[in-house]
Amino acid sequence: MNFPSRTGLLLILAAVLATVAHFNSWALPSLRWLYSFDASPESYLEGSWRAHQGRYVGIALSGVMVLAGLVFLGRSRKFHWNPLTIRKMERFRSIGRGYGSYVLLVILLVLGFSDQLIVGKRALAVRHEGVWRFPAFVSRSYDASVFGQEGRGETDYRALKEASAGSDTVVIMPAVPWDPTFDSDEKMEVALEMRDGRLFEEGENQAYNGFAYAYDPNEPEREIRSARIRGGLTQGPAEVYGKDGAPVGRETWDKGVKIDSSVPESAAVPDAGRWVRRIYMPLPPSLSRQHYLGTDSKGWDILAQLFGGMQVVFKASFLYLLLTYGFGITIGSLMGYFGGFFDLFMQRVLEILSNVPFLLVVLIITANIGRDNINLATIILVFGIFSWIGVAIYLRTSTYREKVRDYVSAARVLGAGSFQVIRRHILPNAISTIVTLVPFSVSSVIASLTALDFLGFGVPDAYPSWGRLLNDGVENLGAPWIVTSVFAMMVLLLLLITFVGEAIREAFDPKKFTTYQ
Amino acid sequence: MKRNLAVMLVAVVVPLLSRCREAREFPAYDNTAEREAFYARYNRETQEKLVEKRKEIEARLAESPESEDVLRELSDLERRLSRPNYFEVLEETDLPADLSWESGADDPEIGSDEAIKGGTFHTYIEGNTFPSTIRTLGKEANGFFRQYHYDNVEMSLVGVHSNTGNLIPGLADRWAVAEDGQTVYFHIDDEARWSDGREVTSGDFLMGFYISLSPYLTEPFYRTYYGEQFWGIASYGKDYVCIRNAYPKPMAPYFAAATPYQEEFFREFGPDFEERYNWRPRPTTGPYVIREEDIVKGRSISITRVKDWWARDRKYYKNRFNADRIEYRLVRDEEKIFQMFLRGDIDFYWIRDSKQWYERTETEPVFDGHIERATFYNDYPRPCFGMYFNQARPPLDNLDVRIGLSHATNWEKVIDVDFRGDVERLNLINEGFGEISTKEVKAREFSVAKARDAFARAGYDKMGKDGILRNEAGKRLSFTITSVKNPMIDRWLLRIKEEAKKAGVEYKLEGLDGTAAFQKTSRKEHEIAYVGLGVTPPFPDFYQMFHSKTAFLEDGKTPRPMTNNFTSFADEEVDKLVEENRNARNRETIIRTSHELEKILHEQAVWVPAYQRPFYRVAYWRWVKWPEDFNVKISDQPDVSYVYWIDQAAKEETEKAIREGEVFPEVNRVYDQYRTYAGGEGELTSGAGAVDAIRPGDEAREEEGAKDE
Repeated sequence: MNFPSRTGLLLILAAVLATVAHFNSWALPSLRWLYSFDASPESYLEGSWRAHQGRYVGIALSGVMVLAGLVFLGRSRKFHWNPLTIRKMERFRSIGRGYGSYVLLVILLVLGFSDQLIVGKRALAVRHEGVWRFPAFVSRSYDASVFGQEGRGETDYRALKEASAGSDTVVIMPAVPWDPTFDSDEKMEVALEMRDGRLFEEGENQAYNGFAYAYDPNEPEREIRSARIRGGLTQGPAEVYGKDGAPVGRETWDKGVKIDSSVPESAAVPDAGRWVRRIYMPLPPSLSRQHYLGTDSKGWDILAQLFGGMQVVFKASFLYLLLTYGFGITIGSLMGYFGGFFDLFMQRVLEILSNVPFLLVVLIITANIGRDNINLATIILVFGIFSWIGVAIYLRTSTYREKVRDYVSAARVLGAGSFQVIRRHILPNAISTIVTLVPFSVSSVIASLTALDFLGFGVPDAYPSWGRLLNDGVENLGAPWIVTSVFAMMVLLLLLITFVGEAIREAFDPKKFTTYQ
Repeated sequence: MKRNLAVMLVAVVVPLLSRCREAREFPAYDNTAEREAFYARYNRETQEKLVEKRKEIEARLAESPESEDVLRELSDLERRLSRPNYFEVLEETDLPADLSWESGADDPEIGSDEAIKGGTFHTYIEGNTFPSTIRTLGKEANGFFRQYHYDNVEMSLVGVHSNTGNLIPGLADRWAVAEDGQTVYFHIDDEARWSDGREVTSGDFLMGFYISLSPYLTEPFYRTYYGEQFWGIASYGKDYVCIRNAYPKPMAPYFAAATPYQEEFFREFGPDFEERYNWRPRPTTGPYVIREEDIVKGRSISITRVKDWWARDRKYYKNRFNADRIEYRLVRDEEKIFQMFLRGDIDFYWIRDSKQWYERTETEPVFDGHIERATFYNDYPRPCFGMYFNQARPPLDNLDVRIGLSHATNWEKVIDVDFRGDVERLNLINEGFGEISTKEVKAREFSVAKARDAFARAGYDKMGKDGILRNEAGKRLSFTITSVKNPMIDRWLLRIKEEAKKAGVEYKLEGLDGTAAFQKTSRKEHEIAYVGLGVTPPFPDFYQMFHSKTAFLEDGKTPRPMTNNFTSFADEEVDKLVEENRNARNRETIIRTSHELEKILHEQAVWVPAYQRPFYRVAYWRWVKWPEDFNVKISDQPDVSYVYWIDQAAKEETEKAIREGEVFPEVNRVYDQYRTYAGGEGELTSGAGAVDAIRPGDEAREEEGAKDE
């Protein structure tokens, strides 16, 4: 098995799996993406094909993958690596920093592909009353009643897992049991310890200062008082709550002694209580809640968002490269090869496009479509419209250069057509400059996507986004875990990509040694 | 070098030019004759209109001779025709003899006896824009800054006691309401003076009406308001003025109380007045005047206490307006304001966010007692924040869908988490009007089960793969919420969206900038609008939000643009109640109809009420002193009652303490004397009341209120 046959088989396998999964209503990690390009619901009538656009797009994509796989397989027998390419790859492998980064990137990519296996609120597997079910891997949702949970609507698997302790129900959750978006946690309550009549935070030597809430010592669910604590003692005004949780009056305390009260006797509120302090969103990192990096100010898990954001970024880069380089290479090589009027005309087009303020166009488009109706593809399309210019200019230059070489003339004399000459002879020689650009394009698309989200004009909230997370972190500098996590993640990814990029450039550089004179 | 020279040249010339512009000389102008002619012309036009209207009514009467409405309209018109002139100049001897005069002297004083006069109160205006004028009318005059130098401090004929809600004297020391309940006579205080020393006369009020009705005003609001809300103004000699309201109302003097425009100063009011008066400080009858040298464009603007203010010893005014000077600094954003406050550059900070209260103000200066904090429970109409369903957009015309959505919208969680349980759920469109606001209506609670039941009744009972309910025809429960884009609102609505999904509803969020959101909702192009209108006491107004006339154009199906009927609500029965409520001649009718209306609106689930804040919280440096009961009951902003004072001795003491590291006990007070506990044991507040006065332009301010939070 050589490289193309392996790739071909993998592509075919993936396409077949994705299609089988789709028609069986399974949701397989990452493969479900192929069938996710639905039109926004209700924008087309039931009879129209676009109402089922996702299915057709999925079939088309799978078809393309199968075709590509077959081509790979078909060519695999005659395949042997070009010795130059082998040398380039060897050289790439020998650059330690670049190769290491590449390996790390691949690991991240594989992690990203594992999708809901690692991150998600749905359980991977549940055994309830002897029946195994796999909620994370089916596209419909199980009602709470299926697992004997109270209420209506979808099952809360985290609650189910908590409740399952000691029973014969088994719940296996992903490592990060939170969805990246629209899955917020509740506020946290941390018990305060009473030592010698003063309140302390657990494990602290300094008496507690701040706001605290008391519950009835006899009825643990009933909140009775909220007050400010100074030096571990109740100080100043305290609000008192009645049986139904509504406020009934106010007390005034001084150094832990009640000096005044407007609470009616009938409310019967005890003076003592079980004190807790409340932590509101953003919640700090906590193992018990399985927020390994804490939450943001909305209460959404940060690790899950970083993960989801990474997936979005990978998808975005993939689409972006396909679009930008596909278009840029085509136009650029045509410009260089044909020259003349076509070249002149396209140059003017490029000039016009490069002078359009890109950010403004994105803002206008977002404002017109409405932020909740935008999807990643739209944004990438807009990116693409403006970014193929650079690629085209590079390729135009190198095509011009290659076009006048003898081997091109030779090919033409032998009777090769324009298309043949460009594809077989010019492109392989002109492309090396372009390949070295790819990693830097990836890092730029990641940065632009983040920047756009940071400004509030990117993808809608349903997409996890580093930009919004960064924005949230900057607005909540008091919660350093937000901004540090997302900053570290971004720096890491961009660094890895840049290192890989540098290594590729070096590997593709025909001059191994440069002497400065 | 050449280029540098050019730059320098420009640098020199530009300031010179701009100075030239400011010092522009306006040609002399005297509108006395023009005014006289205007009075005559306006009177004539009014008469002609009335005669025409009578013809029209008589024609209608011929069609339906029994109609009570038409009969009442006719009798009102006849009454007006008996005194048809809008502007009248009469003599003191013409006054009716049988008037019973009131002087409102029996209410308690406002503020504290201990108040010390003097000092500067440092505060701020937020944003990037410096006020564009100090005019009170005309282009851009009704901006955010006008309230500080006009609406909150200018005197009108009578005021309202901000604790009891009763009428108190202002420029008029006594007033009388005629039998008809519409015509109000005022006697102008003999000592009332302008800040330039001139006496206040009835002519100044005529001038006010002249300006408001003048065609030179670019915005039509005042012309319409004065034209429709009043039957006319008359001077009886220089000390008496009579203003006739268009409708008999409870508290008629309050609605008739006008603000004077000094005859002498506004003599130059003409076509170019917007430019002429743009930065010209006007004489005032109120406590504070703007001096020319206190306008530092782009930086700050200050108001200064009038020396020998005529009302300084009057019962209701003597303990207020204590600071000698109030400095409004332009500060770009909230964060900078807060930092400046912590440094002591700003004396007073209004805490509007729970996070600021629980976390950000837990800092050294507060612990050390240099900054004090207070919570004050007020009694003021609550802005009606909530999500309004546009019934012109199916399926929102279906009652069960609306009920389902009400149960699928989890404001309780927003209140619990984002407000940290500090605020309460709003229940009514018009909450906070005391007994006018019924206690029997409670907002629908969040309940997935109830929501799903209601949706099932409406035919939405199939759960789609995306977790959203749909009906037989495949229509999904998906709605767009239009709101103002603001980090706080965005956070709440995201939570609402997340929670609604549990009940099978998809909310799409559309956050627009303030103007765009307002345009979209008032043109009724929204599905669901998250808005709120600030309401002013003393009475609620259902008409602008729920009368069928505000919902649709004459064809009965095109939504009427530029009204506040966000729900496109139209119902004949409700129309009757709304009209009865609006034209009520006594308080009982208002109470009864308001209660009934609130019940109907709740049953119809026209909206999802959001939250109400029954208090305000402030932090202030300890040299800002407040009365023992902190503030007045009927107020929605802590500083506009002007009961605070600056204690210079305390300021020096504090500054010394900061230098030397001394501390005072921490101060954190709660004033809940006006609080009503939900349990019902608390006092029932009377609720009748008003801030200084409703002035034309309040409607525009309400719109701002909608964008406010």
